Amino acid sequence: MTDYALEIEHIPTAGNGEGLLKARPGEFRAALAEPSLCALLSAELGGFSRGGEAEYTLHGQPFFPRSPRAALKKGVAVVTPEGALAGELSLTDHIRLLPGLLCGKKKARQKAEALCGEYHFSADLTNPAGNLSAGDRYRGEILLALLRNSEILVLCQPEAALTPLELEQLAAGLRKACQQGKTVLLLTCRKSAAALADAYDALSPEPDDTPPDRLDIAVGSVVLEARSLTGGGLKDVSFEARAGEILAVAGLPGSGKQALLDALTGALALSGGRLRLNGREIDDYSVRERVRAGVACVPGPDMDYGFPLKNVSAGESMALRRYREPAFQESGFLRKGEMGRYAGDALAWLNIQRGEEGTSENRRRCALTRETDGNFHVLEVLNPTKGLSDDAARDIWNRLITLRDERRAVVLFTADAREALLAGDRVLTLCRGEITGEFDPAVTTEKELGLYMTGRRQGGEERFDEE
Amino acid sequence: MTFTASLSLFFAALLLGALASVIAGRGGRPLYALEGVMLCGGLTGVLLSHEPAWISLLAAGGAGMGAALLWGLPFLRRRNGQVLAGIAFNGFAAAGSMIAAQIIGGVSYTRKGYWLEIYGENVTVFLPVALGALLAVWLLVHHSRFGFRLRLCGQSAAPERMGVHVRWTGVLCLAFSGLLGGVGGLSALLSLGGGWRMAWGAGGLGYAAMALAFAGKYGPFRSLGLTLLLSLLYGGAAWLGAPESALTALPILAALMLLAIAGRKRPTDERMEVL
Amino acid sequence: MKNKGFRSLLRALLCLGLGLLLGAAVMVAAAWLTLGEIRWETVWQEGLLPLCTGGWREGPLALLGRAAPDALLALGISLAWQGGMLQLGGAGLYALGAAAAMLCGSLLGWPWYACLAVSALIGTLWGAVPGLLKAKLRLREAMGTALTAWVAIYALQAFSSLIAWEQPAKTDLLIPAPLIAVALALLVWLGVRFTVSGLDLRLLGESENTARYAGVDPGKTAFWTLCLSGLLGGAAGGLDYLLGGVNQLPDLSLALTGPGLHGLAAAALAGGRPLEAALAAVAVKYLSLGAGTVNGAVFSPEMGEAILALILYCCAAIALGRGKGGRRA
Repeated sequence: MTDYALEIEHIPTAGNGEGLLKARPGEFRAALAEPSLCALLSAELGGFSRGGEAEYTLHGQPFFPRSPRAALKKGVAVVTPEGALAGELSLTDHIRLLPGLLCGKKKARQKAEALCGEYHFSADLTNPAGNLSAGDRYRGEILLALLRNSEILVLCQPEAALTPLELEQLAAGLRKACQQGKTVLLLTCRKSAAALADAYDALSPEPDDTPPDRLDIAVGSVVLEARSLTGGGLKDVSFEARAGEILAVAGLPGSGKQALLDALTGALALSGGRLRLNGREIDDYSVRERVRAGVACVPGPDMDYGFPLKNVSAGESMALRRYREPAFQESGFLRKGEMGRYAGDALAWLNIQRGEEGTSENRRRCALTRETDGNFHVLEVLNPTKGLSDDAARDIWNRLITLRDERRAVVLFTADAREALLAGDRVLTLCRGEITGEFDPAVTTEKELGLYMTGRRQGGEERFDEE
Repeated sequence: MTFTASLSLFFAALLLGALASVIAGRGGRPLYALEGVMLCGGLTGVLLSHEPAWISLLAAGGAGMGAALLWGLPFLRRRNGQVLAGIAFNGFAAAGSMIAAQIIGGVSYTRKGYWLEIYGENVTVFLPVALGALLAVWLLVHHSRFGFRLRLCGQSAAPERMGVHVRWTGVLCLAFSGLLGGVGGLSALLSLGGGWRMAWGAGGLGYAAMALAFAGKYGPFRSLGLTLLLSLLYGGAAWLGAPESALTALPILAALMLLAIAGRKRPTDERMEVL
Repeated sequence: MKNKGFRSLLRALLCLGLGLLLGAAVMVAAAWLTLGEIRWETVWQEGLLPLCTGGWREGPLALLGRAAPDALLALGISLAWQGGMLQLGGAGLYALGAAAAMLCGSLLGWPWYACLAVSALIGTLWGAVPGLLKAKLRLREAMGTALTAWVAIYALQAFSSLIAWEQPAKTDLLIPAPLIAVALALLVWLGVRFTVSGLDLRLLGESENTARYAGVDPGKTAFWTLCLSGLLGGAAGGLDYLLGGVNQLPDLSLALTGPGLHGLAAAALAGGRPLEAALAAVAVKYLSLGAGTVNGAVFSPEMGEAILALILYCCAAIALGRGKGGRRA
């Protein structure tokens, strides 16, 4: 027998290196890694994929789970920010599903409440999981893992679902669980999160928390003005985006970022509110008219950054937002040659080889180029660096900052408080479709921002409006 | 057949079909093969219609179960292609039953054994069966661990991570829905008029039942309500003396309208509806 | 092989082969049950051999001519497929088109092209119904098209006692028919690949969000696509009537088997690509013509339908099911 509950060897790290990760029983261990590596490790530990280079050892025995169920049977529970709860069922219902806990609703709830009390968890046990916040769902899954008596808990990227303060509270609870013999492995790409554990290994270079360089320019006139936008989950959202600034809108998953982005691009019809671009009302403009008026937009990863490559050629994808313009069509026929040439130029400029357009990093770069090539006034981007390594993220931020220095308005929608603070000139927080505060990134901490992202309001009491 | 007799057969067929769709839909596999499942179950039951009623009912349920499994087994782990496979299965069931009929040399059947007398009215045995099934489905879906597992499979992005055996749950889901669909098919075939031919399947009742379950958002009691509404329409039309072809077309037209009114797709339903 | 086209061809052939293999098993079982013993010679001589070669009996010209209606229907289905929609109402469109052509041709005595135009028009109107339901009420097109097909067929059946069915006046369309089909296939292919509206459609096929983001109105595009799909389906029915391929007023036997199933099988074999769908329709027709020549005493005439259904099933289970990137269908 070895002293370790879990050992991972030959972890493929960036730059063809190999990493090593060991956790003793009862240890709260963290690993600092790039998002892709976090995802890989959690998928292999959870039995979702096999065949990687990493070798796993569980109490001295080789551990290669064939399926998620096999991993659970061995006592390894993996929690990821994507979540696995069913939207219609409450946490209590999920608890009743656990093996060995054949019990009624009441008993299940009592058990869960007892556990919550023990670890100082807050969990909503009665509402359907689909109505819960991302953080509640994440905590709920941890609760389920604890109730299942899983011996090893692997938490993947909790910072994507929880705010720093929530994470701290969670860590306190987890430490208590560790004292009772559980082993917790925290896979994260954030140094502040990794530091919460007893000890951490850095599998990738530690992310640099200094803001990227930018010119010190005076903020220009108002480019985009939103007044009392309502509908599609938004409640009375008002803000202004000015030329020469990056306005970051920080909101956790489900806070209404997507709706706000859709409302600005015209893909979502609102029930109320006014929208002006350079003083001109654009409420009634269609998506296409807004593009022509100067609204550029890079949608988020859920839409593959608007860079589909299945049944649409690279050229057509590259001209996605402008293929009706005379440059790309002639009396209803596409000018395919023109599109191909345009895409070829763009890809060459980005230094992307043919056939490599589909990687997640290149998709973003292509989409960003597509939107920013031409005359636009305001650029909206959603989660542009989700899942990217720190270097690649900085690349994207620098692109955004260049655009800002060219005196365009940039609205950056992000779920990541750190990104908002590092890339933004001004930060708004969004929670349940409402703007909860406005901050200057130079004097604001992530923790503070997190509070407002979870419902505290500036100049008001903390709100507890459940239901 | 008396008026109440045919109405009760029609109602039971529709309700059983809708309940089959409810279970399948909750498990994330819309039962586009219901027409074929009903035909397989119904044909088997009809062939044994000279036996005691319970034997033919069981046989119909068993055949429906087999049919549903035949349709759904390649799709236990994925959802792509389910709908097309369902359409293909319907076609195969129709063609296959005609082939079977040729081999057997014609199908003769009787409606004799399927009646109960309640307050002097002839009512089909399918009525209590369907109502019992309604209760069973409600308990199964909303108040049993299997139901939770089923809904988890239908809604969760990664049900296996919750410890659910996806394949086994899928098999059970198919088996239950096939059972109900098969019995419903027997009721449907008995309710259709004398001119019925095998190529007609269950006369579109399978599609109508599926549309009802869909419009009822896969809720058993909502499906019951819609089935009642449709049966009322059907009964009213029959009472007013509508011609038979119009009468048989009515459930589908009405189901289409109900679906258009009640079953509007909401953005939040996206996961549930993935085909 | 890395070539995409080659791979999809291989996949289609695999589905075809697998479907035939399963069909052969059904035939063996049928022969065994009918004759009481397995006579391999009977199965081969009177079943499989005619099935696989019977399509040639009238010559390649007749085969192409008879395949033209199926090709049109398959084109309509694959047009909707390109937009990510499942057109399951092929049977209804076909039936309406055939009935309309009969009424115009035999009762009113119109020339064949006028009949065809009326069929197409009726098909368009009927295709617009699920289109409208999808655009306005966001009803799934799979449900809408399937149910409207049943309604159409039931409605026709209701009139069966009122209308005496007549065969078309002798016009030899065996040569123009494939030309029409080829022309329309090219038109659809060009439209989908090379026009602005075609790109709208393909973007809708990627996902509704992508389309909306690119400035396409998903509802409108879906509506017009289903209308065009209906046009092709209606024309298919009309053309088949004019070719003498419809012997009676369409009735419910069309609902589950018959042209609707053939069209879907062809479109699925082609993976929803228009040109290939027209080609696959020829293969499908070849099989269904061949099935008409098997020994009817041993094998039911429905054997062909069963085999085509099996082929469609194999397509759904094998070709469409690979990975996450597959179509919603």
